Parts: sequence; C-alpha cells; structure tokens
Amino acid sequence: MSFARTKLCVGLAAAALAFCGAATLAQEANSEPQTPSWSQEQWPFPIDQWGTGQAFHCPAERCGGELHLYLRAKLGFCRCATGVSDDDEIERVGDLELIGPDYKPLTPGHPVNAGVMTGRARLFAVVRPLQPRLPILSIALAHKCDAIVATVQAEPLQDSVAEVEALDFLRSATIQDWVEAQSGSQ
Amino acid sequence: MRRNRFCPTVQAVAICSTAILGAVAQSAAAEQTIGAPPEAMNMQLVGYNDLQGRSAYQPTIHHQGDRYIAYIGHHGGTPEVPKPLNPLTGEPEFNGTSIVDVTDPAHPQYLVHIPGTPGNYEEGGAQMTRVCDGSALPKGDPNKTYLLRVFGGKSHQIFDVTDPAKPVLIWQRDGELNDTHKSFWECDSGIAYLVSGVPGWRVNRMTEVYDMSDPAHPVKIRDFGLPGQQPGASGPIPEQLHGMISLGGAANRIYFGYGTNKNGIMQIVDRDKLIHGPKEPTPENLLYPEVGRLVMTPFNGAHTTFPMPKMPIAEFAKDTVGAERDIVMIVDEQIRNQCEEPRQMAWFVDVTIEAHPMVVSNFQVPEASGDFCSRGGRFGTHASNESMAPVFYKKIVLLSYFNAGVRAVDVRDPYHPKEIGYFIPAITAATDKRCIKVNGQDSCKVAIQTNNVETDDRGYIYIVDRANTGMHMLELTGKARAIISQ
Repeated sequence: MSFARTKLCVGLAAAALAFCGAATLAQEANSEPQTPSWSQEQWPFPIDQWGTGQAFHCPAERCGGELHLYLRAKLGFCRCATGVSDDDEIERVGDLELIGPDYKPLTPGHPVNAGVMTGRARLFAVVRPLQPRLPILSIALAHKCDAIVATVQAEPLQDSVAEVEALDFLRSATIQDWVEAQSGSQ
Repeated sequence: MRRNRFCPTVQAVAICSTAILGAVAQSAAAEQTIGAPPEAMNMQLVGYNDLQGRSAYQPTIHHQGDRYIAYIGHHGGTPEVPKPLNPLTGEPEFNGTSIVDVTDPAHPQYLVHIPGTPGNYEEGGAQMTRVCDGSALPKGDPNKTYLLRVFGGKSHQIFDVTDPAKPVLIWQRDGELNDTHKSFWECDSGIAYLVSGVPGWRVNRMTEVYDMSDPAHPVKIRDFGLPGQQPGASGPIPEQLHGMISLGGAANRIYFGYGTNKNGIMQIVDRDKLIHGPKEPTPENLLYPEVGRLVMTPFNGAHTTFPMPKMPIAEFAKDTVGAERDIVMIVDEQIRNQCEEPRQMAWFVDVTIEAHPMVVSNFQVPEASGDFCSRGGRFGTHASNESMAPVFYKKIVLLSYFNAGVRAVDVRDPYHPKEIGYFIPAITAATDKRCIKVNGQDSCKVAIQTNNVETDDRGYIYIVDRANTGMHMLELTGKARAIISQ
C-alpha cells in the first residue's frame, strides 16, 4: 500500500471517528432527560485561528425562543490563576467577532458557573454592516488554563431565559464530559 | 464484487489497521529514549549543565569582565515538584533565575539560584533576564553589572550582579501587575521596555517604558499598547504583546511582536516618538509612534521580532534601487503539544518600505524528517537568538524548535533561508513528560523541548529546555562553521 493511500485510510478512519464523536455528542445531548431540547447543527462560520467549534440549536417551543449556541474550547488561552474574573476578560477570550466586527456591552457582566467551570456572562449588541444590531449573550468560562466560550443568539431575545437555558445545557453531563476531554492537557 | 479502490470492507479494515499500527510503531520508534545519542548535523556538544532540573526560558549570556556569565530565567515548577531542590543551599526553592559561569563552556559552574515567585509552569518563576554593565549605562556605577528580571507575573526587579555569585536586589517595581513577560533593556541609553500587565489595561501584557539609566532609581516614562487595549476602550481587544527588540537611539526603531501563536502583529515604532511623544493612552497618542504594521494570518503569532537592517541581497546586487533590504525575522511560538494547532515557524519580512512590510520567505523544519508530530511535546518554533554580535549576526540565526532541538539557518539571503545545522539533545531522567488528551485521558510522552537559544560573541550557542533537561552549550562544525569564520 502506498504511503499516500495509507495516509488516506488513516485520514478516513480519523474522519469517521471524528464524525462518530460529533454525532455521539449530539445524540447524547438529545438522550439526556434534563437536556432534550438541544440538537447539534452545522458550524456556520468560516474557519479562523481557533478552527471550528460546536453549534447547537434549541427550538422556540422548548427554550422559549429560538436559541443558537456556539461553543468553543480555547485551550491555554485563559489566565491560569484568575480565570475569567472581569468583564474585559469576557471580551478578550470571547467569540463575539464571529457574529460581527464590532460590539458594545448592553449590561454589566456577572459571575456564572457551569459544573467544573466558572466565569462571567454579559449581554452585547453586535454591530453588523448593513444589518441591525444583534443582541448576543457571551458566556466565558475557565477550566484550569483553558477558556470555554459560549456565544448565544436568541430570537427573539429574552436574555434571562436564554442565559438560564444556555447554562443548563452547559451544565449537562455531555458538555461537562466534553470539556474534561478537551481541556487541561499540559 | 468490484474491489473498492481504497479500502474494501473487512480487508480494508485489516489493511488500514495494519497501516495504523505500523504508523503507531513508526512514531513510537521516533520517540526519544534515555541513553540514546543526540541527533545532530554540523553542530556538536561542548558542555552541559542540568540547571537543577528547572524548566528554562530566556538565557542571556553576558561578557562580564574577563568572564562569560549565563543568566537563565525559569518558569515555575510542576505539580509534582513545585520547589526543586537547590543543591547549593540544600533547600527547595521556587524556580527563579540560574546564574552559571560559562567562561569555559566545557566546564560550566553553577554559581547561584535566585528564587522566583510561587506557581507552576507560567504562573510562577522568573522567566526573563536582561543584563547591562554600569559602564555602558548613562548613570550606572561603572564598576557594577545589573540584572533586570521579571518576578513571576507580579513585578520587575533589578539586581546588582557585579559578583554574579552574590546577587543583591536593588529595585523592585511598586504594585502588583497582572502579568509580565519578555522585556528589553537598551544598555547604552538605559531605556527599558517592560512587558507588564498594568491594572486597568484590557490585556495582561502591554508595554511600560522606563528610564533605567540609573538602575537603582528607575523612572517610568509611559504606558504603551495597541489602540483598543487601553483602559476605557470598548469593542474587540487587539492581541496582547509578547515582546520587543529595539535597535536603539541611532536607528530609532523598535519592533514589537503581539501574539504568540495566534493573531500576530508586528509593529514598527519610532523610538523617539514613543519616548518623547504625548503619553496619555488615547487612541491617537498610541498610534503616533507607529511607523508600520504587519498583520499576520491569525493562525500565527509574533513571539520574537528580530531585526536585521541593511542586508545586502546578492541577487539584487545589480539593481539600482533596493539592493539592500531591511529584514525582520518573526518567530512564532508553538503552544500545543503534538501538532494540535496550526504550525508555527519563522517568517522573514522585508520592511525596507516601513509602511508596507511584506513576508518574503519562511523557514520550517519538515515534520517527516523526524516524525516530530508524534514524538511528544511541542513541535514548531519558539524563539531565536537575540545577540547581535558580529559572529552570527545577519549570517546565521539559531531557532529553538522544541522537540526538533535547535536549528541553524543561513540567512545571508533572507529571501531563501536554508538550514545548515541542527542539534537535538538527548533526554535525561530529569526530562518531564508532555501530555495530550486522547479520548479524554492523558496520553503522555517524554521529549526534548528546546525552549530558547542564545549565542555569545565567541560563537558558542546556548540552548535551554522547557521540560527540565537543562542547558546545552554547542558549537558549529563543518560548513556551518565556515560561514561564521568568513
């Protein structure tokens, strides 16, 4: 077998494993009685320096509004000692630029937690060219030296509901296991 | 049944499994073992010191009187050994600064360890060192030598190291910072550019400019950073600073590197405008000293920005304009182990027309040349030597390349850099493991992690290891040595 073909087979095997992993994540998310509302969807953004992440959707009838949650682990990007301890850190590690090139905070940030992770959440208005401003909830969490970032888009926005639903989802065993598996390597 | 072209069912599984196992076996074979010889081309080992088994960052080699002294900054310890033993004192000490007499590099003498701050890995230690003689500093004691170092992420310190075996603390910055990193100190002017995290700034690493011409009484000049990083700004935050290199007052240029492995920016700054311009950190004032800026692909960061001005380019020798080029080498830092992120490398940037810098070439080590992605630890660049002593300057640069050791690169034609030597030290019992997550579990390997490199004016090369393997002193051989002899 040629080296190129070997590489292709290994690549196919890896791709299959990755696909199965992603499918399992969504399936497990769906199979949990506490979090049946969320399903995985395709990552809608172009690739950037953090690669792609995980995208989830919760329909209006289950979450009180259409929710889209975009989740990424930014390994080694958090302050090991203090984590996400102030509002500037939400902006530094957050993913608001996925939505639009500029943004302004609408509310002060506040502390949140999700299982093994602690951090802060804050509501922003994201400015998009030729489109109305979009309210986005940014949740930035720290696990050891890693940042786990959730960007939540709600239609229509009910930020308190969106935050409760998003944090419940982030606290689910599926997400917690995913975080443990992703982060903390030296 | 038509045979699948690539992997037909069961047969395919068997073949693919064999291939995968073969690949695993091959990668296992590439892993380093204790007792195996170093791997080398045109470089050889001269001497070695274990640095008390401490994770090493920046070495500075200082020609001090008739001696050569190495000052090596360290990261914090590990969870297993947060305070390694100092055999000289018999006491466990948080990692700080090692001072080693390398006058005879074949027989280095470890003189003293200055402890740093508590904390493991990048949380603790004292990673950075710079050294100036009082005879060079405008207001220094001409009989003294001074060490500038960071004190963990909290502060900056200056020691009197006239007797390098007996360092004496003479200054520490007041107040607690959010972080520190790789600062720069101009010995002829005393101006220092400190990488600090001043509370209130929106990043943990920006610049504090100090007048340290009198090391006992430094005077702060100003804060500096990219617009958007300053206190009170809103919107996206530009990537934080890593470090800078100044060419001093005559050339009047400083090259700042932002980002380590992502969102890289190389900023060219007018030194005079930075020091004497308006100091209030408004967006306009922060932009005032900027001469040019290179925004890199977000896949890469600007860890080291090493200037090499006025390089004659042989190919352009007959050109009436542009036969000489100003070059800055940008070195990115690989952060993740075992290739779990975009590859980091060295980029050569033509900054002759400063407002429009452009990458003209790069240097990287082929992964397949050592199966480096599967050896363990990081594979990719970290930093370069920063000495501008004539023996190497504008001829050969040395790049620390983590598990690929140190690489010697001929840069006489920076449009076509080429490797002319390398040295990958052997691991020892002290070499620490490096882990990744596989199916949620730690998968750890032991590999050399050549973290930083520096040279001296005699032509010796000093490499230090992030994974606690110590310091190796090297020299070039063969055709590589012939280049520095020219």
